[in-house]
Amino acid sequence: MLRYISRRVVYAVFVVWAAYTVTFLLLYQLPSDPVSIMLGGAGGEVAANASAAQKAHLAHEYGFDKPAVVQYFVLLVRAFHGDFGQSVQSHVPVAQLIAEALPSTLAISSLGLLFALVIGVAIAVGANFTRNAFLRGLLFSLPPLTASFPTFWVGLVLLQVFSFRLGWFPAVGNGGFASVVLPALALAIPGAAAYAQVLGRGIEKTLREPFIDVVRAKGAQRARVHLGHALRNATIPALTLVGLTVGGIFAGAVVTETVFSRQGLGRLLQASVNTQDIPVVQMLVLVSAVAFAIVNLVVDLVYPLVDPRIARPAH
Amino acid sequence: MTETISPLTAGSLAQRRPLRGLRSKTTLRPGLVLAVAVLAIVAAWAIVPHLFTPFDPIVGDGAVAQSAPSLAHPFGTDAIGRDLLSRVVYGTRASLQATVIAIAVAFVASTVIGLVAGFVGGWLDEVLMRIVDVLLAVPSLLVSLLLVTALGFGTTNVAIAVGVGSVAAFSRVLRSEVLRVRTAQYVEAAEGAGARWWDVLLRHVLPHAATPILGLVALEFGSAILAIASLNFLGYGAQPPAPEWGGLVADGRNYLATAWWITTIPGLVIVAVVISTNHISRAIGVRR
Amino acid sequence: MTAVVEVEGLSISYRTERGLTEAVSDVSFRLQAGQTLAVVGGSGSGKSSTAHAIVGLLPENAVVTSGRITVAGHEVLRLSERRLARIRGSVVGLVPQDPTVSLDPVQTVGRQIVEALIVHGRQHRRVARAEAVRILERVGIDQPAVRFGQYPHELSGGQRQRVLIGIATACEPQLVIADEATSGLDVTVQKRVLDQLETLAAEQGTAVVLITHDLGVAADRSDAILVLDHGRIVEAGATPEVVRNPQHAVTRRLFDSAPSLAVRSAADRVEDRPSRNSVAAEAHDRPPLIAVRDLRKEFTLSSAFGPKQRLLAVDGVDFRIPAGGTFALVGESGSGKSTTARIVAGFEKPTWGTVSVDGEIVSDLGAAGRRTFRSRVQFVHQNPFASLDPSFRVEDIVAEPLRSFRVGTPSDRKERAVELLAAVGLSADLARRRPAELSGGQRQRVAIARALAIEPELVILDEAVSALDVVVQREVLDLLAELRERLGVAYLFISHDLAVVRLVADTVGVLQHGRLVEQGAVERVFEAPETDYTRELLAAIPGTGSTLRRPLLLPTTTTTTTTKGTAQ
Repeated sequence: MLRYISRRVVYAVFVVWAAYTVTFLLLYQLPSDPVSIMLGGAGGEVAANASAAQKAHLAHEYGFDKPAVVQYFVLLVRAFHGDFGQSVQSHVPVAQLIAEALPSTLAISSLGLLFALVIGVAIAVGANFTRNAFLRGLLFSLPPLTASFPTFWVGLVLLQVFSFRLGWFPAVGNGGFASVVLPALALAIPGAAAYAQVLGRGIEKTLREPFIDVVRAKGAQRARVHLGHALRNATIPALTLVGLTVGGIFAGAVVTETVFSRQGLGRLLQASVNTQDIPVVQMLVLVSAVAFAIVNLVVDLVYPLVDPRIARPAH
Repeated sequence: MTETISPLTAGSLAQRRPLRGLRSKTTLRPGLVLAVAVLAIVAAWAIVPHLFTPFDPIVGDGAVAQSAPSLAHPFGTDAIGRDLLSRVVYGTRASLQATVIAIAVAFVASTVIGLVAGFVGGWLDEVLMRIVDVLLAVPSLLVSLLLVTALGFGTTNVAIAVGVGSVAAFSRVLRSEVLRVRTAQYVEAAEGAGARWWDVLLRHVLPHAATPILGLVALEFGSAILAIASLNFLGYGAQPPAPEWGGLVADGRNYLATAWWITTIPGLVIVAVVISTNHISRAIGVRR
Repeated sequence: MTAVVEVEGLSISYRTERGLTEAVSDVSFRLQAGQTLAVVGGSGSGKSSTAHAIVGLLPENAVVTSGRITVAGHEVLRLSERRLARIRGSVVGLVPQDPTVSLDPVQTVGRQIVEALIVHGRQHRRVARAEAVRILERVGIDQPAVRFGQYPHELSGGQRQRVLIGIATACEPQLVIADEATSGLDVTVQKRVLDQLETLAAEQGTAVVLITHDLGVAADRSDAILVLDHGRIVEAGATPEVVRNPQHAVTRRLFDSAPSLAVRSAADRVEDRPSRNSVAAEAHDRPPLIAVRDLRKEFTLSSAFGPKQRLLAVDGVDFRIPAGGTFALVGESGSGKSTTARIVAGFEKPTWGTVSVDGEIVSDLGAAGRRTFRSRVQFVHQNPFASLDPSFRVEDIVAEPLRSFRVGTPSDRKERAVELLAAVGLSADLARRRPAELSGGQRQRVAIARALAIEPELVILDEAVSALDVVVQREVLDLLAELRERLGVAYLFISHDLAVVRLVADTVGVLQHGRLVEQGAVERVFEAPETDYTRELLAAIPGTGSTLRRPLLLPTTTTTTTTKGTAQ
């Protein structure tokens, strides 16, 4: 057991390190000129007035005059000491920018994840449980349908209906719980669709397993068959999906926060890409990799609790 | 152990015959016909946009600014009186071009990775899949944003970024497809019958992998359209006033309260296209 | 005495793409308390549909078109789903076909037995726990209190089937339906499980409907036999009568082809064919075609927890096959017989030891040598539904080895394919068809025709007939024997079915946990087994003397020189 946990932890650390390396390669080592990008701002065109001296100064400051390997290790060592550099635009330390934006994004992401789970499980269970053919068809076709919706468009439509037409929720801003609901819902929809689809199909498949016949032959009623056996078995593959979609929720935050004009990590990323603020972009991507690694670590540790075949493999 | 063979197994294997499932379904399913029709219209928009609308997509008529959908302007007009239908129609080319580039990038890279990993196997498979695992830890949109940051803005860069962003997931599925066929017993049986490796690849593996891969490409088409629209919505794609689907939705953001059609209708066009490609990919037989 | 179950004029159809197909037509029978009825038939005879209809567990696309089923006074077909659930378990119990997939994998076996006890509200959860442990003990599971907390994957197939019998009989139902309950188990386990079921039924006075394809099992275990064919009853009667004097051709065919019963007639057939013994005798003088020396194969199982486990699937196996000889490897599942076959075929590499053909070690061969090896050794897989490329035509499948080894022109090869099809008893008009259009037996013939195409010296048959219906199985076995006489090909025959092995092999090796525990001429091993394990395997073949609860008389159509006493 201890061995299993330690292997998972090591793997999580490996993923974060590898993500750091990938971002470094993409941002600093592509055949583009990071110094020009930093000086140039939006669009990537080199600012004409950037003097050679300015360039050299910047190159020195960021270590671009050194070989790539040296740059990589210098940045890695700094990152280890909690120094993630500073924004090229605002010269504020990156860590501080992220710390300020984090709570707001955490609020909408965690509520979004909760919404996604509740909606996804409800649709999956309902679609299989109902005997009404129309309702069943509707519930089964809903998830693939919503998966075809662009996230930003869903957000805008929600805004239009619930804020401007019905006036139930504020349209913009970071104020209070009411302002969190719509962004969280917009964020939840792709996840909910994915969970509903995988879990729904999983339950459907499990219900065709021979052991379900045995449960029914015992005299178990429908609810016990569906909730007591089919759902539990179908949850196991769906759990992996929850781990995988967490990154997607963070990516969704980029779009959602822009749509709802909320401050947060996503908005910060959008703004930083706009100004090609390389250190900030790199750190934000890394934050998402860390979130991914942590959530998947949790999923890996939960697995043995729900699937005895992992906890106690047969000999 | 004793395995009782049921006629059911025979049926499902029969459906695995290349393209057979597709043909039989085309004749049966009206939904598929509709999906193909939607894509045909959109393709025509991209090739000959002027046949579909008399209005200029760039120059507006201030007199009809923000007018709701009508017979003259079926999709309505935007804030400065440009006909929304013609903006959507003329924006199609840019959107589809970007999608095709993205697919090409994703497909070429993923096919190489997937084929090599699935067919060669061993340590190479191991290494490639670990790299793919790491890339999967970063959501594809963020990989695309990284590339946009590094490469700069513009339709082509966005397309490349989206293509690269989907390489990890796409090559993983491709590999499992190749592996599914590769480990099929009839492939081993062919090897046992003395077939050489290229014969096995060309005659047994590729024909069976081709159909599902085609379905995957269709599926990928849908997600590429969505990803490109997202990046355009965020403002990294075609620069105004050039029309592009995601950008058109973004244009309506400030008029949500007064002109619902500016955001809603271009969004619906995107949804229709994505649903159609997903539907086709399902008909070909991809399950995800 | 009133009947526990009464089926009257039952007809069941399935909705398919081509409309309704009838699976069961006009089946009627009744069964009284304490009696066992065997419903026998090949695949597609409608025996399983009948069984499932009694429990009300037909698949969704099944329609009962007419008839009445009464179980202990309840009209099953008229009950609502809710009312039906109330009689399941309490009045009718079901022992399903495949124990490996019939228990919920994520719940302890104890909890699953407790569920059977509490769903009818008869027992409180706390009392049920103690009762469940007693049930485990009753069905013959060791350390019942420990087993209670284990998950299905931690139990063997036989133990799981016992748990399922425990679940089916937990509420002491009046009727138990055993749907091919032991056909997936190894013979030794099958015997013990059937004994258990029999004892329990006797104790509780339960009526049992035994669904089986094996007349040997039916003959041993039932009071009455019902033979189904294409959904219709073709023969019904008290077991001794049916066994002694089968009336219908289908019954006689089932008797002839039942592997377990065929064993005894095989002894006579051997006398008809003295050539077999002489081939085996000659073999020692000539160098062997295939020599397998000290073969070992180790697998590393990666497990999420703890260190990697090593599994020695094959552990020091030695045997030789002379040209034209047939060597059979028998053993229960997991004994390493298939792995050995795959190593000999060159599909897998041994961890240790060698396989040599005519003295040349296979793993040392260069590219050219390996191709020659391929042309000399061919392989037939177990499952003919998976081993033929579904997109190929039959003629292309059969001609594939010829194409690979560049034999003849394409038109020569087509001609040759038709000849080969004729040799395996398939008509030329099948040549243009695809595998999906063929039956299981036809496909396996195609696979055999492919294996013979380049006239190999050895054909490896990995459980090649186990998936086939008994009747088809017999036909394929006869074909193999005939081809051997004609072409002089040698066979390495892998099977878990001793009865089948006896029919085809000259020499046999018995594998247990990867080790060859016994090896010798087939008559010697069957008549005078040297190890306990072989004796146990032989004793467990259904239809042989030791398992009979009443004397079994062979049908008159076969000669009645039985091998009595072999089993003791």
